[in-house]
Amino acid sequence: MVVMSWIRFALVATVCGFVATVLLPAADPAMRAARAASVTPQVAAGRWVYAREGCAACHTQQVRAVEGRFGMVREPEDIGPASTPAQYAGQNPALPGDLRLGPDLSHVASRIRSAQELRQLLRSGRGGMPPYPYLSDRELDVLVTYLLTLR
Amino acid sequence: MLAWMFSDERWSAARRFLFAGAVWALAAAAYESVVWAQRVWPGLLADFPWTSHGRLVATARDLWTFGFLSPLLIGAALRVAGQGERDGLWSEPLANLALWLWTAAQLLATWWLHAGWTRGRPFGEAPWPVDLLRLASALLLLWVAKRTLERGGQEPALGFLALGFAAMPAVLVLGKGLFWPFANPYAGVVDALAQSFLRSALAWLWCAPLAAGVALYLVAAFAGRPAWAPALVGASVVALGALAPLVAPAAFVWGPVPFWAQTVGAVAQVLLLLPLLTVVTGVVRPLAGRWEAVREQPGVAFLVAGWGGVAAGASALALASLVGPSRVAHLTLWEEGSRLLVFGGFGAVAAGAAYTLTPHVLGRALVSRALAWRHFWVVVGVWALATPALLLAGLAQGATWATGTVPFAHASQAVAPFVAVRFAGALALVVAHGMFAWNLFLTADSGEPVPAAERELVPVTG
Repeated sequence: MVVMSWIRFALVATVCGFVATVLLPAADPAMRAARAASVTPQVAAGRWVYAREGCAACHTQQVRAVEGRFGMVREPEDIGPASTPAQYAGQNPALPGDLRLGPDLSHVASRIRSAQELRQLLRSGRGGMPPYPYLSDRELDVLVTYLLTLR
Repeated sequence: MLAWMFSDERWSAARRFLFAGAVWALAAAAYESVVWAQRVWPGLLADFPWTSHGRLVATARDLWTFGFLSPLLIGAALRVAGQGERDGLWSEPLANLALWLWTAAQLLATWWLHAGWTRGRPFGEAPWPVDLLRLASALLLLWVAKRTLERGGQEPALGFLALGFAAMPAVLVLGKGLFWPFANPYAGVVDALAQSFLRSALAWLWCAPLAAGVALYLVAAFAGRPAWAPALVGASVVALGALAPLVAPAAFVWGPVPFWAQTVGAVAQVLLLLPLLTVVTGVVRPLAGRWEAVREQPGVAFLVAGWGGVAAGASALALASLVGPSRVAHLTLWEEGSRLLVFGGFGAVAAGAAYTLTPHVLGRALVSRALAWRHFWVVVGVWALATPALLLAGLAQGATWATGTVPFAHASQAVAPFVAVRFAGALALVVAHGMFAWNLFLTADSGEPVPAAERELVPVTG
């Protein structure tokens, strides 16, 4: 009987915690106001290559309020404005990342505007970033298209 | 073959979980070392899709949490759950079925994550067939644990085991959205928070209760004294179970989630230290005046050090969730340092449990205590060197980002020596986990048999 009480407690606490900290924040007016932007199939495919290759292991798409004060592209490495709920709206999976070994990519297209430069960077790597020589031309195209939507 | 696979031999499931964990521990350490090598030499193995950095990170995380930590903790928890008047597990064949499901899931996860079949969610990368196998296994384990624990016994630590076994399937269903397994049912901010929920719940609702129950039980049995009064242990179980599911938004302090949710997450992360520190003191307290005896039992030293690491890592995470320190600690290598302590701490508890339980699941004494002590000192050495390196590197990253004037590439170059230290630590862990697996397999093969009377643990009810 005592064991069943522990098990019941564990299940109720876990479900209540999940509802309170994962589902309830989405009911906040600022969250509900966020609308998903429509994406082309090519952009969706690029997003999938991004997720498949684990880009989020090193790159965040999460500019915190304390970092966004520097404004947009004041310097070549500038991080850009703070992320808003709209940035993630409709994203499946969301790609906020949890470790920033490479620069944040929320606004990468405002720093690198040329598809050619992005292709070159992905093919050959740069600094601490590994190259991705095995990506097909098609995969590279959709990935670059996706990255260029991150403004 | 089927009779062997689903054996009803006493403690066969616990033994197999422990040995599976030891093998996967070596694999996890090897993958981790390649991941950190790639952070030192970015071009390493980059020509092949199966060994690209992003895919190896996903595989290494999966191996560490589900391959290494989970089977070892499950094996130890099953052995402890079936002790005393409960007279063994309620069903060894069902527990063995859970083991084979878990092992099949791990093999498939490793293969598919290499091949690029992923959900793309950090710590939740494994695709849905793997999740369903793990869920089936977790439900079987919950059923076996429930029926076993219902047979009686009043040891205070059992509440932690019940919490851990019950939370496992709940964390999988909610964190990975397994009520609709074939596609991710979450999107947007909900998905971002669900990812964070899964990440924190794996540590605090999955590993922590099992590690606490096992450590409190084994140390009390070793010392012949209770950890704390049953009421205090019970309060810790309630506090851990109530606070751990609330931690998720702490990962988004200053981020795009409502401020009230950030506050709830940060407060829960800080308050979580209370039950964790109760466990730490509960593991240390029975050993007062008996530290000499620990020399004969390296497993107990692992249990104590492991919980020390968990508490230190939890403190670092709590600090990083506060509004001020999170400015410079969040999203940096500080978090990797905290995780090294937390997940490394659970690993040390799991290894300690395996060493301590060797005579009780194999009926043989550990072949080499000296090798176990070497394993212990390598782990402590890695913590002593790599953790400060990562924490300092994180602070350096955060501080340079906060200036807003130093280019990101310069900040990355500045932390390269710290990353190299972590790589050296990862290599040392491969050696340590090799010693661990070797010692266990040697014991199974040629360990000295212990008398039947010494094969049982003596429960301490407090």
